Amino acid sequence: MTNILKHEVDLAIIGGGPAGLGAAISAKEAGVKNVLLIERSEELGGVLPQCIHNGFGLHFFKEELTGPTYTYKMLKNAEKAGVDFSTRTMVIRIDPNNTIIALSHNKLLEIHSKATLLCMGCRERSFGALRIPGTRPAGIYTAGTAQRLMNIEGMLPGKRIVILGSGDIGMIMARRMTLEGAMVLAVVELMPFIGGLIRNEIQCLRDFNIPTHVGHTIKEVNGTDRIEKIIITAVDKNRHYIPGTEVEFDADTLLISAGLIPENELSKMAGVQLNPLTGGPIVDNLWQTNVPGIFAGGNVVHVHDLADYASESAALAAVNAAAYAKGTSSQDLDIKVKAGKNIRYIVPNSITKKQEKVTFFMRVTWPLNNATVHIGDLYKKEFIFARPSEQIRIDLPIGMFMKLNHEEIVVSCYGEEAV
Amino acid sequence: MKKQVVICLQCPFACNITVSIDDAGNISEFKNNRCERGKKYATQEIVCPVRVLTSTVALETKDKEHPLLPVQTNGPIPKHLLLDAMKVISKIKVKAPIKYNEVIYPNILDTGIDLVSTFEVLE
Amino acid sequence: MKYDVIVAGGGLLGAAVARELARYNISIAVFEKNIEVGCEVTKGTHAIVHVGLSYNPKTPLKNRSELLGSLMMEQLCKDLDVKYKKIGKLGVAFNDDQVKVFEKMVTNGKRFGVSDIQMIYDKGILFEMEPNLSRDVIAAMYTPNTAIVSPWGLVYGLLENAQANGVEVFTECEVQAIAWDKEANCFNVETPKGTFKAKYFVNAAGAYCDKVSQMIGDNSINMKLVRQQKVIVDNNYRNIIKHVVRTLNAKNAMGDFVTPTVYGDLMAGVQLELTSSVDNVETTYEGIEEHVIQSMKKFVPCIPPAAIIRPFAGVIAQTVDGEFVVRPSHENPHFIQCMVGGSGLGAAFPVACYLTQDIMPQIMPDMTLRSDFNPLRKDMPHIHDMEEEDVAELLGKDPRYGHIICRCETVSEGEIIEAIHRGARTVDGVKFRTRAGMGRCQGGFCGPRVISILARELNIPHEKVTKKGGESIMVNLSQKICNDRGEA
Repeated sequence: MTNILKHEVDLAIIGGGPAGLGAAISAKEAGVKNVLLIERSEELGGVLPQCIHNGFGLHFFKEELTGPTYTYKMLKNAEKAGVDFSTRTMVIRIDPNNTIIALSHNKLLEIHSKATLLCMGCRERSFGALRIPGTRPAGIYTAGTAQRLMNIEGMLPGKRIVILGSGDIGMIMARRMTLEGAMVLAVVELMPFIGGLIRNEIQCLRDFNIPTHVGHTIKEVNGTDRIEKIIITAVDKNRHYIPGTEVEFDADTLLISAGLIPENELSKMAGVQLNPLTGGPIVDNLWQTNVPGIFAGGNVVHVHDLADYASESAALAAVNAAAYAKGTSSQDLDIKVKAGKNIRYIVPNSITKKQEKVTFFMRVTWPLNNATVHIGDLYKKEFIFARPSEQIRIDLPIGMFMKLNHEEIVVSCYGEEAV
Repeated sequence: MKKQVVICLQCPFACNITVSIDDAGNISEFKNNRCERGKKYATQEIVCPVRVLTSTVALETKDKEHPLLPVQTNGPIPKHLLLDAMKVISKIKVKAPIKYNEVIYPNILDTGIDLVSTFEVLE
Repeated sequence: MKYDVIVAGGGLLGAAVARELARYNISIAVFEKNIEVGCEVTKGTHAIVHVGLSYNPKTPLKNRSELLGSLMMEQLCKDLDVKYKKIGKLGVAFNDDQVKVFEKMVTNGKRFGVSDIQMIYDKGILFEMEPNLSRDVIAAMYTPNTAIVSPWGLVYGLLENAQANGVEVFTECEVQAIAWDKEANCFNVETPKGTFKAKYFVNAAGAYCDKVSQMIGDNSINMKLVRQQKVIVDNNYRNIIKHVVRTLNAKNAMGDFVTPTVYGDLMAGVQLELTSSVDNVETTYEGIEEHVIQSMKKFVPCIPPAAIIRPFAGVIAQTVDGEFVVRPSHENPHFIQCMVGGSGLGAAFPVACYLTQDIMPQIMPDMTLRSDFNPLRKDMPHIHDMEEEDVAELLGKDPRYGHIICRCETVSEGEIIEAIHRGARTVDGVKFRTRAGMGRCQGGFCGPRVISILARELNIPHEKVTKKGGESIMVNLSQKICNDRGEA
């Protein structure tokens, strides 16, 4: 079959966004000869080329950059490092034995890799998944899709906007649409607090006097062909509608910013087990999944606050994937890590190999003041405040954990509820 | 005498700084700031709040599916000029190739700040 | 323009009639009101081909059409290359009263020739057939020959085959007025695309049958409209149930259900309400959260509400007394009423055959069969369903099939272009023909790209691309971001 191209690589990286790019550069720097970065979109960078606002790069590049600039610098580094990549290449299957099948232009690729690093990132929660009553007219977009329409393709989604969700993407789009001449009628947030960074609350919502309704949700969407009316309502602690609190908006567009979901369809195909708390693969301290040779990094594991962290975590995973491809290994350990009180999730979920240090990422369930994070009985760290929108990173030396072999650590957080 | 609260964005503490302003419009007191940077930030926010503006300009390029170039002001400009700046930006058309950080429009609205490209477009 | 027959309605019934009429040496046109075919009542069906469980002596045409539909559908779908799966149905009973009702259905079924219809009382067997079925089920009626099909897939198959055999299909061609010209012995049919003449007129206008019938002064069509609310469940749950699972409602008629679809996702329903308007396609809190989701839990407790990717509603039409109306109009024998409903979509094809083979020859006795009628039609390629070697070969011929646009359903640019060539003009048209936008991200990734491809292939500006015609534009460029788009 002349249209099937076989490739043998040391490391295959699936996904060319900030995570995949960080991983590819890291793998080349670690000396891996044959690294292939696979990207289904037309260009590398993932979602960053459409994130024309700044706030990226403070950690990775030590300066504040826009999404496109972060991408530009990563691409330059990738070029320097000699990264091989293939765009418009969509992986349609991964077998547990690390055979990858992808569609690429006029060829079917069959890639055999010694190690694979999953960096597929996330998708946005859709309008359909929210099950909002009413009709399903034109004019409903997730915030990221609207961002793509505006910043890549040059199309304005609509003129009179309601935004559901006060996460960073929702707030960024509130500002972007206002600057381009649309009218943002409301930002509607289910929780009693704004979901994203304070910086965005001020520079996106308050700067432009955008009416914000916390503790509210959308009760109904109306419109035959295009959206005509959106009705919101206040909700109580149990998320039930409070009668008599409805407000109507004469809107033509609805943007949904209701959360990101790690995109793990390929992971499942490869036999990778997922963590229901994160939606991403269960990983150990090497960022390896339960399938030997398949690693995962970036937002596909759990949603990171910044692209920088996604690049960093995937770079860490790449070093381990590279070691696996080379055949080097270290001492086996068996320590399980569990999320305890006030911790929504924690990664990694286990410590299986001896490495210099273990890096934990976690999020709290609710905003807490004077919070203390307890890593079992081994370690505690205090924070003036802990917020769900700002993940906590703790690096600890492996020596601390050696005596806990074959046991379980529970990570918890105690503090005063801030809201 | 009036008081205004400024949330400082210089670091994750996000101090809610209470600034007292006398009747002549002078700042007389700062409360709740953990460091000196907070005072400087709060002063700027009250006297003349500034913001970096990011946007896109029309781009003539080989790839018809990507007709935009991302741009930003290479420093903050007064917040009250943002919407006027957008009007200027909406009229700009450029042609590839464009270098990264190339000046697209100098001295926007007489602020002394240039509009620069945040990406590289080869053709 | 003059035709022998104009068929009003580009839905399942109109498409079936047109395709069957195409066997004859006559000129035929189908007039569809909307910009896409098969987008109203057709979309509202449950996509289930029933074996024939309608035994009301007052609805004989409906009864036998359902029975025949079950027997004819498999071959029809093979000929037209339409997705079809015979998965069988379990009518499940939660109490003894329901068991008795199902037992009666089995008895009647046997009487009317429904093969293999039987009761299953052995819970061991039942839960082996459906391991995830609620243990509250005490017995079930099993009809092994119940099938699922793609309703719009059938419309595309029927119409493309009809077109290949000479039928002309007009969209955005609503029948606005019909007048009988005595001298010319034909109808003058007014549409937005002009006035057309036809010797015969078939009224297969679905939810608008009564309105179209009234245009010639025939007020005998009495319809009721029913809004149906349902949900689609993520295809990660495709292996959770294997059969159509259905139970009885409070009136002991077939009611709520959970079923696999031919596409691999699941569909659950159904909240039914009478409605006065075809546009009443809203979902409600009560309908979805309180009814459909609760009933889904009752059947298959392991499916969580979070697995739902989309709730939706559609309006179906049926006659008030339930019987099909397939006969010449009392006002004018050249005007043939063709109204089905309340039976499931399997009945549409036998009705089209009945109209063509029984009724037409009586009013059009000189009609002769074409010697070159070709009943076969090939669907467009679907990468998602193909073997990898076949995909490789297709990519070699046209690399646009290697450029994936919809990642959730693995739909390529080549497929989207082919769908547009076959008639899609809107985002929804592309969606139903290719599946792009029907997956779990619901168009989040592919949406902008589909808009661009439609604009390019149809040579229209982006701001003229619509979701489903009319005013449903996707984007608003009155304040352009990019002044250089060069289109306006």
